[in-house]
Amino acid sequence: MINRPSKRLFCLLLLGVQVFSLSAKAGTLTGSVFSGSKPLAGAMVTVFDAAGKRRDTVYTDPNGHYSITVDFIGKLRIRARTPYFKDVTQNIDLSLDAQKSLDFVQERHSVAAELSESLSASAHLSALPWASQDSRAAFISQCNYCHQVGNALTRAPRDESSWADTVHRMEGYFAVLTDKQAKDITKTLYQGFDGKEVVAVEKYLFNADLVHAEIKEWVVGDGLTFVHDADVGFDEHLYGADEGHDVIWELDRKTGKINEWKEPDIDLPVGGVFSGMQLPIGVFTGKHGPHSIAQSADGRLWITNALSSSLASFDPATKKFKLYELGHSHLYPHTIRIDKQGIIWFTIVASNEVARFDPKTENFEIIHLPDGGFWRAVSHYLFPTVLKIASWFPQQNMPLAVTHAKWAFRGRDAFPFPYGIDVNPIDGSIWYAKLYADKIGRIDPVTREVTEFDTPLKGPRRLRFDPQGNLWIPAFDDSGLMKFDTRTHRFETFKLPLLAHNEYEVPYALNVNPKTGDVWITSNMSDRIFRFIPGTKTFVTYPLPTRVTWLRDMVFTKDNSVCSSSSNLPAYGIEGGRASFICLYPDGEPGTNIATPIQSAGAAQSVVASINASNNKH
Amino acid sequence: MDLQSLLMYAAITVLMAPLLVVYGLPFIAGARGFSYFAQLWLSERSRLLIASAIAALGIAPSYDVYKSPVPIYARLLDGAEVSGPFMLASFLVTWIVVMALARRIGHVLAKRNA
Repeated sequence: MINRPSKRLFCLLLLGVQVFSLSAKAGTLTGSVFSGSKPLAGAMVTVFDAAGKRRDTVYTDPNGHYSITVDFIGKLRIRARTPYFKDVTQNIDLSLDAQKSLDFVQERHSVAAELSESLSASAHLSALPWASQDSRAAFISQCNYCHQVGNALTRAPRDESSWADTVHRMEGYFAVLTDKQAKDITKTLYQGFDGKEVVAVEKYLFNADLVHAEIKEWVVGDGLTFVHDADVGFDEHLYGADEGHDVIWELDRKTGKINEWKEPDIDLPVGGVFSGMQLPIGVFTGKHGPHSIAQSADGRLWITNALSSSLASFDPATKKFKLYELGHSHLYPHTIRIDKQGIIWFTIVASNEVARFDPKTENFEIIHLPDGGFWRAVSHYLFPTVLKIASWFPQQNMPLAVTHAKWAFRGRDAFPFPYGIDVNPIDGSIWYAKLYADKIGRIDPVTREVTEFDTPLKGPRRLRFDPQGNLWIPAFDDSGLMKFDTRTHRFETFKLPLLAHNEYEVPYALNVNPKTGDVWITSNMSDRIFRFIPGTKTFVTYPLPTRVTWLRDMVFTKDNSVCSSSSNLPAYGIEGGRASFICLYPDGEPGTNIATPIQSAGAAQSVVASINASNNKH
Repeated sequence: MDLQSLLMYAAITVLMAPLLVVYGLPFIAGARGFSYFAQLWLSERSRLLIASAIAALGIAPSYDVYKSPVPIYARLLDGAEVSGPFMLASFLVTWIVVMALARRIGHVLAKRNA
């Protein structure tokens, strides 16, 4: 037993060690970003380490000032980036405990082509000449859920037959389209991505909340790494499920050390149960396809293996995996959550099921969700057989030849796709989203009775509860956010703040900060993160420093950051060519920016920087 | 075309046979009608040959970019191009299969009626 004075002494010692450790490791940069003599508010100042594995970013305040403390030193590259302005980069040598001053002067883009190149994918997509609303909706739903379209990699001009090949290849990766939709999308991409600069009228909002924020990115894996989801462990490490390589990545945010843990082999071909499908060649080189990840009270991480129809546990203490096979008729285990009793729940998207797994008995219970019509029932009962036959012909996409999504003209409506899942903290009920059926559903944890509700916006994806039992749902297809009151069964909807009226976002996931109640949402087409404040019903927008940032599950750390994985597919399409873990500290990283001059920027006001297409000749 | 591809096309065609038959219904009806009216002036063997050919015209598949089979006539009506040698080969194979099936069905029905 430790008495009180000893405790105080111990705490003081610990604090002293931490302060010393920070000051010993850290170097600090301060300065300003200007355009001419005018300060630039909201400029992103990013420090890159010498190895290109770390990136730390802060925003300038309304006076153009910034201050950033980094825990890496040596030859560093510092970049100032502001939307609609030319990037400016400087190199410095930062030594231990050094403080340096560095100012930047950015010029507004004056060449239309250069400005166009700097715009987000969402701006480039706004130029696509859609002839049919149905095909546009299919495109948003089916062509944007693995990656951005309209970024530098995907907007390169091609001839029509090349686009047809690409669309066909994407269908092999599970874009579910009718023949007409595939043809329309091909034609539109061919006509729209013609290499000419886009004309965009965007609104970039600077919010005073940005002033305190800091973003840290840790590069992980190679150009084909696909860290689908990340979760934070009790040890505050980030764990990422690499669906391409059957690997769990572990990041120690304090040291920046990254470990790689390989799942055990299984008697299946590459691609697992889906070996008959083409799957992203070169990326999906594994058999398990670890997809979603959650930690149980005993410390084990539970991972859905989408391609091998199995559940895996990983013990961070022993680094041992254990596999639990579901059976090959249960296709694509997906999002995973754990209830207060330690029961593991996950959706099985391609089989219209939810699985319940009790770690004590190690038994699965499969709950077949309402079919929602004849054609969706056909998917449930026949798809496993078709995939089995298809596996005799590896990577030949045989299911595309026989699918009723095509010959019955159903498209994505052929599948209901139960997707996100969460546990109601009030009554323990299980709620899921049915992505292509535009429904959410409730499973009674005792009786297993299922009740479904139509959603007012389309594409309900990864939903989450707030502590009061309200269900928050991203509307992937409609650039929206939905709130569902589970007591009154009433929806409330909110449109995401778009950069321009003719752009769209594809919010894949969200999470509710248990301390603040704020809802954090991915944007994914414009390299931003949104924070929705339910009390004021307002959004705060955080521009992200790395182009082609495509985020999935969001998690909160004890040091008040919101983290995710940057998992555009393929990773080499991301600026810098690598996937990363990313954490945003809305109030700065504790212990680094406490005494920064930014804190004194109390007079911060909203500044709107807008760009007018005609004025700027682009 | 390698053996594996050939087997895959065969598997796809078998799986999609019901759809091909639905597409071919107008031709199958025509074949039945021909067989009925021609029994006065043609032998059973000749009627089988010609009726099977009529049905095969409506069923003989061509394959799209997804390897999905659709009868040649439907694809031609849709404005797509199908190569002559492929059409001939597909028709001949389908004709043989339809003939064999018609004979088999005929035998089963005759046995049941006996």
